[in-house]
Amino acid sequence: MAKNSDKNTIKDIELCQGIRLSKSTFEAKENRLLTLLVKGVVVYLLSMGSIGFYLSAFSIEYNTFVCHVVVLLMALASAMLYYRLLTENVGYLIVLALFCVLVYKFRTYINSGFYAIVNITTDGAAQYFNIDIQRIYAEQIENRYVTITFAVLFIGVVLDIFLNVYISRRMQYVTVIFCIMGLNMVPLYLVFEPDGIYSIMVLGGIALAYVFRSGKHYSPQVSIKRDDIKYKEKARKRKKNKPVEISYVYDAKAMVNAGIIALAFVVALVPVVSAFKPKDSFNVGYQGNKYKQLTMAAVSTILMDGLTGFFRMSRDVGGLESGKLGQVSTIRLDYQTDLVVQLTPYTLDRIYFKGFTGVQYNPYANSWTSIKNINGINEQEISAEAQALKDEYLEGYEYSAQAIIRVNNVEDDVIYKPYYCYSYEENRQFLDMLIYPRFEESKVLVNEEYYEGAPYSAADLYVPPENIEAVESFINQLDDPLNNKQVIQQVIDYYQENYPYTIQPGKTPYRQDFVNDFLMEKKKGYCSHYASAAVLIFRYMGIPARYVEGYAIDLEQIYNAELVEGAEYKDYYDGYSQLGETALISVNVTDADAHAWVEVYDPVKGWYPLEVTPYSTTTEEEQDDFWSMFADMMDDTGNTGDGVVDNALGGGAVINKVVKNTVYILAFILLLGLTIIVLIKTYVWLRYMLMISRANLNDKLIYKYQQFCKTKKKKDKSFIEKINYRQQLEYLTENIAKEDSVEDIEKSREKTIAILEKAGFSQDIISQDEYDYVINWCKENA
Amino acid sequence: MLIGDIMENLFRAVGYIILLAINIIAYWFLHSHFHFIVLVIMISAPIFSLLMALQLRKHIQSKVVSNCLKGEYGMQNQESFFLVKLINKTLWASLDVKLTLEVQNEFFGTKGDLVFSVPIYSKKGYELQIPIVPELPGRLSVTLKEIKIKDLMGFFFLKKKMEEKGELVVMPEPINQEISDKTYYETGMLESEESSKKGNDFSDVQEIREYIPGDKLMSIHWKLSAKRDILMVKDRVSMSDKQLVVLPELCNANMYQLNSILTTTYSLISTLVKDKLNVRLMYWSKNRFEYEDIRIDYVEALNEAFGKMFYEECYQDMGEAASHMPLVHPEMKSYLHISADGGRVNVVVRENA
Repeated sequence: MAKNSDKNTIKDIELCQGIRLSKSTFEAKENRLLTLLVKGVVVYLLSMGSIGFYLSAFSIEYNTFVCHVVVLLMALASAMLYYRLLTENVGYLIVLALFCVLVYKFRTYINSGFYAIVNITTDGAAQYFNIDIQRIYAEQIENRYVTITFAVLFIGVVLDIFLNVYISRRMQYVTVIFCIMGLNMVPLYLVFEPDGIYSIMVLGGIALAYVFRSGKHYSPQVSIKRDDIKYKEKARKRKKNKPVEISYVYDAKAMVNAGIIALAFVVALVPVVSAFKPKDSFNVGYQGNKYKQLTMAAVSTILMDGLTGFFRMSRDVGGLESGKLGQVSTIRLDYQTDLVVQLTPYTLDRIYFKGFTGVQYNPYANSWTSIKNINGINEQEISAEAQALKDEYLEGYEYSAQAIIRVNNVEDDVIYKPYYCYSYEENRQFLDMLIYPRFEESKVLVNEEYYEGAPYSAADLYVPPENIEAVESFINQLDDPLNNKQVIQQVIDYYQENYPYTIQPGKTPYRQDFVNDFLMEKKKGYCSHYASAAVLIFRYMGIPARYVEGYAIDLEQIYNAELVEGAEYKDYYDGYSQLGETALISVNVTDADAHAWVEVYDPVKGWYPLEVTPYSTTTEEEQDDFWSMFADMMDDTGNTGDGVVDNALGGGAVINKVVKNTVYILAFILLLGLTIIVLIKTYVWLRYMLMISRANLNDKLIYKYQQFCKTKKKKDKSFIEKINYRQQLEYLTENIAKEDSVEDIEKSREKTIAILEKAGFSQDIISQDEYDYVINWCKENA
Repeated sequence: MLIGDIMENLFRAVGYIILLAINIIAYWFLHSHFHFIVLVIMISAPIFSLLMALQLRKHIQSKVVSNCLKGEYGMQNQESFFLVKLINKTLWASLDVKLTLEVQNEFFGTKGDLVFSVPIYSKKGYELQIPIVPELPGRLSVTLKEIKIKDLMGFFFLKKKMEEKGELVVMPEPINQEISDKTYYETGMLESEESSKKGNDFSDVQEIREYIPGDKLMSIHWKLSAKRDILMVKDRVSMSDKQLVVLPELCNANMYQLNSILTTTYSLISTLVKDKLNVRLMYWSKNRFEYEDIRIDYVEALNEAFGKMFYEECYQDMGEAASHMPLVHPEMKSYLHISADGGRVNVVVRENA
């Protein structure tokens, strides 16, 4: 190279005897700005292309305009960081800080967006594998358009920064291909094809990176540095006959030219290929790859159960786990048959199969302790209600009946008993349950005589002190009830109106109580939430209540059930039936039918099941558009998008919040600006100090004097016109000349000038005394 | 092609084949439309790239011109520029075109190779400005021997012979007055006593007198002035009515000697011409076996004469030009013979006998 590493100076290169290549060859500069912009465009094509690739494959909607603009700007800004070493180091710090703040601020949206994308992907997978997979992650904000936009912005910015490292430095297209196509294999595996434009963007970006890499740019033969020189000498072994080889490093115009050709090639070819082999009919008649089919079973298991699906240790009962609460973020269903029930339909109501009865609620441990462990009652013993109903049946009461329901628990050994089971016996794989159903019309009185002891204990009325406040707060929202029936109805109604049902309530936060979190914070949930809270509310209002888990069969399932051939109705049912004489049917009960409900004690009916879970799936208000959500997104309470909270605050509160958030943002920007200024000043100061520490007295004096002049010029505009030491010092002594002796002043001035000239132009090093003299002189005459 | 380039292209081709294989496997496994598109692109891209490079090679033209900043001649030890123009009228471009250039001083017979890697813009080509510093006078040429066009995919290098040449005549760097005095002093030209002793001084010193204001500085006899502690000048005979013949020896046995002869000749004639003396430059043409005789009245004519002289072929015998003089020009009484001996340049008035 024409560079002398010791002196860092460029020299001519001797081509032959008497002819040299001038060093001015290496003084040519490339258009660095345009070069970086081109690199930024490549990064944009790759990052936004890959995101759009994935999202368009699943037809996920988001604000494409905003995302494209932001990702493009960020890509260009990231590329610009490589303008100088300083911009790279400081720029990355600023970008990182800003990014962290924004991510923290909008974390709820980004999180929800991610969950939405994953859930949509899961839905797509369910569609492809023809399996039932429910949404896995809880989306705290329902408006997917907004949340996905945020998630895309987040991914886009991260990709911009990440890919920029590989693209701007070494154009490492192979690494980039594996990075961006890794995740994009998911939609392709599930036979979801992206939109053509994103295919073009991804392929165009890769083509650009490939062409640039294959050209002279980034050639390993040319050492790349963070400067903007246009030509470099190729590293060569000093052999006599080897010619001098000079290579250009970057040429923005050439990059644009080649880039346009590569992009045009991709843009032209993709539609042609698509026209020749349309996307929609591409796989028509294709039987599938047998090796892919081999992987599908494993993939579907992962999709349903995650990686733990390969190591399933516990049964899956629709998010219910024998009284353990709040562990499930989202109810994940496998739709595998848990119970097979054979019965003769007899009621329009839901039929419950009880498997677990919780009496004692354990706040913060978030669990119910089973009745077996509290009262010593064996759940499998004959219940008082069943006894009373049997008596009525035997007496031939009009609305009484006797039935045999056959239950086969295929999943585990827990016995699920329908209401009101008198006894059961094993019959091959089934348990034949003898039950005495209770109808709405029934007047059977289950008085205390039927109970061995008291019908309920103190535990059935106990509300833990930790939950009192939440329960009272809830009850305060209700009207003043007159009796238990009204209490129950009001709770159910209030749930229906204000506590939307969702299978994605999210896990109960760490060290939070399940019921309190539901009643006070989340205000939405699934059956366990409603049942657990209702039990405590009822108890607080003096109604004995218990928490029950099991399965519930609706009439709709009964209608869709299979008939059991060769079974006689009379062998399975006798007595009153709301549905008349039916046939024996077989119902496959899955974990989708798993349920939690409340058992309430009534002096007439005894203990009976009560449904408190609302029927609707969700009633959360969704905001209409991006910008209305955007206006709310400054709210960091995590309740954005929840109309209940916003409405409750009222207009004034909203304005206060907006003002508060605006102040926060302004303060943040101010702080950030100040931090940047301080950083830059610190850097400049450190550099100055470093320079001073290394300099000899001559240089030190000149630095100091320059600083002095700089300060003076800021204060006095006339001083700017003084261009040399003499003019500057004469100007400084103009005013004081009147006060002091002119001779002395002139003498000191001339000495100062002499020292400065010696320091500035001479090889001789000034003495410490001379240095001090000038410094003091400057101070005195400042 | 250099082995490094072949290896680089080979490495890239192997990498591309691996990527293609991965895509084929992905297509076979997933049967996705996207992978089908990628497959078509990956197969067609190298073909497109090759066709593009072939088209480019076919239509590319070149031109090499000298682009001297100071008039039409270059100057020794000063930057001279050659512009290599690649003219591309096609839409295609290349990111790497290797230009093999031969840089030569044809008068001195020195040459070296230079390889430049440049891009080619579509519809424009490229203009490469090469700054050359000639250390020797003579006829400097830059010849574009061949170009190697690399296709956009970086798999092929396509060669094309060009043989485009640009020339520039480089004049010797004139010796400035201070050096001139010293040189002349050293060579004895201005040492009147020494010249008189030899009896061949063409510029006879009439007398040595004291300095009178208005005298030329170059007339001052510095050595004598130093001895006498008073400025003395050499009063010369006017030579405006005489015609001086200068005969340099174009002997290339030693490159530095030839350089010194040319420099001295150029400086001397230049000085004489500025002093309004008529000078005839004569040199021995080895090709035509006769003297080339050029009258020089002004500096531009001197440049033209040197430009013409630089097309001559040098010879190896230092006294060859002088040796033919009695036979070819017996009428010539005397001439100024410029030759070299060891590290010295001899400028002597030689009688033609």
